[in-house]
Amino acid sequence: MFEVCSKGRFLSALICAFVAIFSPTLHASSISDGFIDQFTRVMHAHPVGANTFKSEFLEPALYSADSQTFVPTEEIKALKTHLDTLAQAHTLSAYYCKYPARYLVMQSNTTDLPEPDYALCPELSPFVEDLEDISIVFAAGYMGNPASYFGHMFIKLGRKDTKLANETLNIGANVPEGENPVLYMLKGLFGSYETQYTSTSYYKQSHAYLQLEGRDLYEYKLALSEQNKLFLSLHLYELQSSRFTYYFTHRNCAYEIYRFLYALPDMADIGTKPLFYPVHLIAYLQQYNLVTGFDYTPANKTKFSQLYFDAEPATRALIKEAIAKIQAGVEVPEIAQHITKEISEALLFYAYAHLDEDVDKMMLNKIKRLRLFFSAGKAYENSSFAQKDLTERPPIMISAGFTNLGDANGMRLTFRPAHYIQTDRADDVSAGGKLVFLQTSLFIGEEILLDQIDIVDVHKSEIGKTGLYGDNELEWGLNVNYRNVYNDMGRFDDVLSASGYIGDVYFAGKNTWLQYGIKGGIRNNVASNGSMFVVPTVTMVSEQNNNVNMMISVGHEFGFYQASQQGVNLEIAANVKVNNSSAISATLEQDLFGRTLSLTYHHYF
Amino acid sequence: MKKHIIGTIALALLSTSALSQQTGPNPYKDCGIGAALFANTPWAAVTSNVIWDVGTTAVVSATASPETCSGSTYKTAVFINETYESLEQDMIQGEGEFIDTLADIMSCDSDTAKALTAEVRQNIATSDLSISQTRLEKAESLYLNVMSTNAAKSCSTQS
Repeated sequence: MFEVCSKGRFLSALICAFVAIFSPTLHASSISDGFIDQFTRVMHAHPVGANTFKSEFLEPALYSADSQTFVPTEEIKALKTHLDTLAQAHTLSAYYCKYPARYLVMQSNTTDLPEPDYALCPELSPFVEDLEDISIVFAAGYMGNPASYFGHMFIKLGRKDTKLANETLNIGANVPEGENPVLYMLKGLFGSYETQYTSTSYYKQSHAYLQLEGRDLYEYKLALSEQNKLFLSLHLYELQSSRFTYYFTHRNCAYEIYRFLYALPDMADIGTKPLFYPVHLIAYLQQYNLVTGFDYTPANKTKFSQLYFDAEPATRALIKEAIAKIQAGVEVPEIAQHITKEISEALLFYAYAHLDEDVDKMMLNKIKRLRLFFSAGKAYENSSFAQKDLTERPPIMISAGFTNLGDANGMRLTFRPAHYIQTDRADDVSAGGKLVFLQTSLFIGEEILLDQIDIVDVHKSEIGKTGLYGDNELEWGLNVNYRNVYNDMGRFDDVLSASGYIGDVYFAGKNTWLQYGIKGGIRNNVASNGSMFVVPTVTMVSEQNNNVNMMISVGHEFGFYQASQQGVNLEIAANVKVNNSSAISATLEQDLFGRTLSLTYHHYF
Repeated sequence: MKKHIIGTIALALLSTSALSQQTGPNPYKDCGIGAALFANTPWAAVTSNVIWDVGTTAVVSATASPETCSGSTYKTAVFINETYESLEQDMIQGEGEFIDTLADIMSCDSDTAKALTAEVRQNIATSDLSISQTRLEKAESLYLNVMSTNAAKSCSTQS
C-alpha cells in the first residue's frame, strides 16, 4: 500500500498517511467497536437504543434502512456491499467524491476497498489540497436580534495569507423571508427549520459583524495534525451536501461545529446538553487544547469605548472638545491643530460606530477629513485592545442558598437556563444590562413552593456607553414575572406582573455607573398594593477587578388602581466571583410585598 | 439652492463619466451590481446569516461583454460594493485587512497596494465628501477612484 501511496499526488499521499495511522487490523467480517465508533461519528449519529443509532442528517444515504435510524453493524455491511457493487461497475468515484470521509472510514477499516482516485473528483481536490488551516470564528452576542443574543459561530477555511480573502462555512436556520416573529421563535425552539452549511467569503462576514452590527470577532485556529486536518476537510466537504434540523437551544451553529469536530476518532465527547451555546464550544476547544492560534478583532464600538475610558482625563476632554467643535462647524485644520493622530483615529472609530450616515453626514465627513489630515498607518493595532474572557460565567446557572422571606426561613434553589454574558457581567448584582429566560426558583421551608419565575427579564443597556452624541441611547427593560410573596397573615400569595423600564446611565468610569429611570407595569392586586405601579429608581453599580460587584438600588414605589399603597424599594447586593464557574452573592431586597434576605452560591456551566 | 443641487449632480456625473473613460467598462452600470443588494433584509435574515444577496440576480446589460461581468474587475466592483464602509475606513486610516483583500482580488503586490492606497487616500482627501450620494453611488465612486489610480494599472485586474 505504501508503494502505491508514495507514487500519488499530494492529496493521495495524505490519504494514505491517514489510512496508515487510523487503520486498525480489521476485516469486513469483524466489525470492531472502534470501526463502529468511527462510523457513527462521521454519520453524526447518536445512540437511541441498544445497538441502534440515529443520524442527524436529514438524508443520511443509508443502505440498511429507509429512515435516519440504523444498526451500525448492519449499515456498515450494507454499505460495504454497495461499495463492492460500485467497484465492480467501476463507478466507485460516485460515492467517494460525494462522501470522501465516510469512504475513508470504510477504506481504513477494511482491506479490499481501493484507493480513491481524486482526479475523478474535480470539485473535491481544490477544496482540500491547498487548505492550510481551519479556524472557528465566534461573533459576539448581539442585542439587535433575538437569535443572536448568545453569539454566532462559523468555520473559516485558511487557504490564503490574506485573511479576509478566505472562505467561511456557515450554519444558520433557513428562515423563509417574511416569517412571523412569533412563529419564528416557536419554530426555532421546536425544530421546524432546516439548516445546512453555506459558503460565504470571510470579508463579507467581517464587514457584516464588525462594521454593520458592531460585534467583535474571536478567531480560534484549530491545532490539527496533517492527517486530522485532511480528514476534517474531507468531512467538511461532504457536510455541504447534508441538511440538519435546527433548534435554537441545542442543535445550533455551535453544536453542528462540535459535531463536525467530533468526527475525528480521538475527539472527546462533550456529552448531551439540553442547551448548547457557543461559549460551550469555546470552553471545549480550550479544555482539550484544540487551539493553536487566536486572533481578536474588536468592532469600532469596542475600540472607541476602550480608548475613551482608558484615556487620561485630559485626552477625554480633548475628544469631547473636538466633537463639540465639529458640531459647531469649526473647520478641520483648526481642530487638527489641537489633537493627535491617535485622537483622530479614536474619533474615526466613534464616527463609524455611532454616527448615522443620513442624519450626521456633516459630522461624519469632518471626522473622516480629520483623520485624513494625519499620516497613513494605524494608530492602534487590534492587539492594543483587551478582549473579554468568553468562558467567564457560562450562560446556564444553578444556585442554592439560605433565604429569609419575611418571617419564613428556608433554602432557595434557582435554575437559569439562559443568560447573556456580555450584558450580565456582574450577574445578579448588576442591573446594568441583562437578558434572562425562564429563571425559576423553588423555596424550601416548612413547605416546598414555587418561589419565582422570570419568564423573560431583559435590560437593554450599552456597556461602556460614553454618553457622547450618538452614543447616548436610552436604556429599556422588560420583565414578565411570577412570584410568591409572604403576606402579613403568614401565607403566601401569587403575584403575576409585567413591567417595562426606561432610563439612562452615567458612567463614572469603566467600572462604576449610575442608572436612573422609571419602571411601570401591571399586576394582580395582592395585599392592597394596587394593580398598577410606577417606580422611579436610582441604581449605582460598581465592579472591582472583575471579581467583586456591588449594587445599591433605591426607588419609591407608587401602587394604584383598585387599591393604593406606596413605599421604598431597596436592593443592596454584593457578588464575589470565586472562579469562572462559580460566585457567592448576598442580597437584601425590600418592596411593598416585604423583605427578602439571601446568601447564595451560584454555579455556571 | 436648486441650481446648486443641479450643479452638484452634474459635477458628480461629469466626474464619474471622466473616471469611467479612464477605467474601462463599469460593472456597476453594465452588470447591475447593487440591483439586488439590500433588497430586503428582514430581521430573520440576520439570523440565518444571509446578510445580503451577492448580486446573483443582477441584470447584465445587453452591451456588456462577458468579461465585464466576470473576472477580477467585476470581483473588485462587487467587493467594494459589499464592504464599502469597511474599505473606506481602511483607506482613510491608510492600511487594513480590507485593503489587503482588495489587493488580493486585484492581484496587486504589497508595494503596489500601498501606492494604490496612498492615491485613493489623496483622492478622498481632495474630494467633496458633502455630495449627496446613495450607498451604491458611493461604492461606485470608490471603485472608479481605485481603478483610476496609476498603481491599479500595475495590478493584473487592469491587464
